[in-house]
Amino acid sequence: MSAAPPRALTVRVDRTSARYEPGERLEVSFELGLDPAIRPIERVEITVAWRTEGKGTEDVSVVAHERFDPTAATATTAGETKRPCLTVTLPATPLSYDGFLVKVRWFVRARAFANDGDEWSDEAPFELGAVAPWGENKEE
Amino acid sequence: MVKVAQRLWRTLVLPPAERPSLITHLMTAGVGLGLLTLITVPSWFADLRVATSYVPQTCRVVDKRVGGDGTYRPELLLEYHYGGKPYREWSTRPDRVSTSERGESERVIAAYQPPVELPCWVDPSEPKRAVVLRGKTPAPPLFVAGSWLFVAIGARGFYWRRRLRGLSSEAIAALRGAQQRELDAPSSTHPNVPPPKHRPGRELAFRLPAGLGMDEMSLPATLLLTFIMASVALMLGAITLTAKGGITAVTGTFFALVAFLALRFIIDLVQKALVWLGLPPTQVELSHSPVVAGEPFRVLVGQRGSMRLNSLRVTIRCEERVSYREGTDLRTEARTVYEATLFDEVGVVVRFGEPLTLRCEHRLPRGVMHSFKSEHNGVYWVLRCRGDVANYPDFCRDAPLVVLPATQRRGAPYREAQS
Repeated sequence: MSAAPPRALTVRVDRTSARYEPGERLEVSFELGLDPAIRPIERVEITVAWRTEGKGTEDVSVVAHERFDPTAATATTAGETKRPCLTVTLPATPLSYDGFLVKVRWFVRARAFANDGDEWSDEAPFELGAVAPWGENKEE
Repeated sequence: MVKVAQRLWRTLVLPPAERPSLITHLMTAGVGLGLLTLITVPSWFADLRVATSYVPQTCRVVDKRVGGDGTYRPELLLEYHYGGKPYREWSTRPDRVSTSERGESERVIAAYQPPVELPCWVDPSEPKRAVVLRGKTPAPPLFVAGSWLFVAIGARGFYWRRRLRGLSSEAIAALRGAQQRELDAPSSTHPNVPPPKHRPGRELAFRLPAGLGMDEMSLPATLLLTFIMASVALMLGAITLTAKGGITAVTGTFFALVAFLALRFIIDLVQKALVWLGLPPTQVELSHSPVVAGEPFRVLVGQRGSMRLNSLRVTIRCEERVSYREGTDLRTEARTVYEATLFDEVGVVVRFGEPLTLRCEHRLPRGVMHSFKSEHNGVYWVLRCRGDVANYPDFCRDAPLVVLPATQRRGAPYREAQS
């Protein structure tokens, strides 16, 4: 059995728990598993956003968006590989929510665009705040 | 009206959700330009033809009128000679256009006091045609505005198509989001939380607008439906009675059904009107606005008037509301996800000069969802006062409030709802 090939693009948040509080800093990094000699990548875009899910029409709001030059990903400073990353101070609202009709989901997304028009994307969800799912709040 | 204007303004200034299609905006701008051409070019050509082909003459204006058939245009009766022959003809502008604006035609002919000698232009190929009035008939302003609107929408599409070239959907959303936030509340520390609507209170700091509840909100709709159903019932009744052969089983049944519905709507309308007109407003005051989840706040509910309440229930509730398209219909759906009773009074008598006043302190759980509003989804909080009035229609009034998320505690979460 051969090992799985490396993923073309991977995006990560800086906490394994992927839980954040409003006002905290979120650091997003990405890793390209493509050989730049074979597949030259024009740019990588990182987005921090939330979207609604559920019965209603989806609403999406982008909080931060940045373009990166993928060649910078391999640039080294004093022998240390410096990976580009996006740092964002998270807003106070809307908090992640698992409602009956409305769900608010936060996520980071990376998209890599090749010179020949191909593209790859990866998404990593994270939680903002700690709103209880609907039905779990009892009167105090 | 203001809301519609605001919406239109937002649509015009905000970047579109995606890069506009070339063909759609080409067609839109084309329609606008086509309409503008249609109202400008024929008149312009008619006037140009007068300037280049007609023969200048002197004529005598002997009469004037507002002519046209159903529509209006200024007309002058001219007497002149051409090719040795005398002519006496009614004349108008070169484009011969008549409009629905009588005032404009009256203003034009008011400048001429017959009999008067004036320069005119005669068509050598058809000497019966002569003109004194030059220029083009002004196009209806609404038509012109409509045409320019099409051009503006098309031009906006071209602009954004060019501006958004090469941008990914996320980059477009980021641009749109930034401008949306700037428009909605540039200094808001809580994005997507609607601002509270309150005034200073009498006893507590903030007074909420306790408007009509959802039941009473439908008053105008009920009025309209009542009018429609009653009209249809009357019409059907008249048709049925005057028709040959009198009332048949089918028309009679249909008439009875419509008449029953009309009666039902009339009763509903009267009930709502009685509540709306007969019950003084409910006073709802809060010590804090916006309310912060997990923090205590005081509530005051007051009811003036003269009534015997079988029951009065005041609840604080959280409702999720969504809208979505199903085919061509825009549907909305709501679901209450949290409700707590603040007051539940039974057998209360309210007299003139002795208003009912209820006070309490409440605290929302720290884990509740804050107020939230996006384009198609929302989480709304209200204080609902529902009264069962003896021998009178019941009432239901909603006072919208804004709830902010619980503040973080030092060193520990705020995430307690899950722990």
